[in-house]
Amino acid sequence: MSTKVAVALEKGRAAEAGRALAEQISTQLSGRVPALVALFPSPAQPLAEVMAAFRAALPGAPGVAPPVVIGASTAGEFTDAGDASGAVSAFAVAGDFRVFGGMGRPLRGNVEAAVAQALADIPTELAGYPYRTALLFIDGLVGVGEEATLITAALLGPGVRLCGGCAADDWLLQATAVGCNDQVSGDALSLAIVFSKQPLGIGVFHGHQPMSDAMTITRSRENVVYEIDGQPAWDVFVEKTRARAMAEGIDPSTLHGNSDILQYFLKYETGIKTGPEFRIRMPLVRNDDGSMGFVCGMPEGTPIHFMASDAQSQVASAKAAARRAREQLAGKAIAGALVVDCGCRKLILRDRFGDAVKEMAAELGSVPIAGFESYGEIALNDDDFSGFHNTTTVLLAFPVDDGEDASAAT
Amino acid sequence: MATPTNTALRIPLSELQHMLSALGDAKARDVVGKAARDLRIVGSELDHRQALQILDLIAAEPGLVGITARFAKARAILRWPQGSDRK
Repeated sequence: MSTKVAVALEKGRAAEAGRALAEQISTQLSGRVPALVALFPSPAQPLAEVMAAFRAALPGAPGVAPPVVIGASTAGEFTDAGDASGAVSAFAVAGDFRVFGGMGRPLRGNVEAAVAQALADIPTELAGYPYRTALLFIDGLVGVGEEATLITAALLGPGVRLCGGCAADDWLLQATAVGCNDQVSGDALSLAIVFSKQPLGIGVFHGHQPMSDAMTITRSRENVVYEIDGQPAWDVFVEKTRARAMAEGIDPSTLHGNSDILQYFLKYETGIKTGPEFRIRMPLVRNDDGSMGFVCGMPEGTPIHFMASDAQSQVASAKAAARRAREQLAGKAIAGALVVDCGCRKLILRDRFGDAVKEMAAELGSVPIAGFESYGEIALNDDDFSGFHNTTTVLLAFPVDDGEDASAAT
Repeated sequence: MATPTNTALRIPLSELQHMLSALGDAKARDVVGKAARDLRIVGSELDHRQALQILDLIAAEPGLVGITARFAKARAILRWPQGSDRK
């Protein structure tokens, strides 16, 4: 049988949404038991309740293992049929895959051990399934996005593509959660390793451009930047973004409170130059001392540019990410895709966010897609040495041909 | 001063910098340059042992810098097998 993807979006209480999603997924898959399910609830529907209700309600089949169910809390949920907030999106894939899941915690100050814990019970190879793809979700408030990504890639070894993202909490910046099967936790990471007979496709792209020359981080500790070019980080950030902000009708001197400042960070970010492209690094908080907290480490001596984007570029970048995923599949028909999209893209796109999602689905051949808005995205292909992104769209595309027939013929 | 010992495998410094690209190009250039100076390694090409020495030194750094170097070293061992005849 070929790969079949099912997606769904539900509102309502956590348990009801979980049950409704299970019913929809099972119906769309014509009763086939998925190999992998990803659930993305808003903070209004606790992840633990959604996952428990979903797992309890999903019909099984004799002799077929239940799916690995993985999840992350969100800052927005969507499928190709529409986007929402205060909802739960679900992605499920059935086909000839073998999937293993794990959780690691605590993450703070313990990244390597957490990754090792999550991978402890997962085989490193499986006869007949030569391709491995990791789906990784991280607590988005711990500030170790790149660190967790690189350590996971190092422990998995070469030839494993990674994708995923940072759990979010509707920009409350209070608590995010990730889960795998019957475990859900903050300060944690969860992952699923998909063994497949055909390679899966991962695409990533952002639509930001630099609006300043490089300035250097002159004082930082882990993910907190205190000074840029010897000046308080926030002061420099405002100075370098003021002209663009004023042109867009935002006066940074009128920003009051965490919410205003967060909205500002969602419009203007920093970027570090890596080869011909920029890797976006998004501040999440401004601290009382004028420092800024980022979603991953920001070492001293790193030159950063200040970055911005517009709606048109964001729609184009979503399509470009889908195109990159499609190109990895070398012309094979696509069954569907899981998408991790930076939460700030919705602020830039506003009511055009749905257009960007539809562009992605169309680029892949009008297939079902589902995903969530995150606090950071993960995409690391075979030759990459960096896998953590911000303000970016990441897609994991599954080919229709799961390789089962080819394998049976040999 | 450390001098190249393996004339078969030549690794450009720029390749080492690329492997630390999670830090951004400029920061990667800085940390590789500093490590090379600390190890008294000169020249724009390295042998296998020198390249791993540089990554080892950077890997001892705290935080993202060290993690990036440890990831690069894990990849480097596969990318530059000892005795490789790549030139």
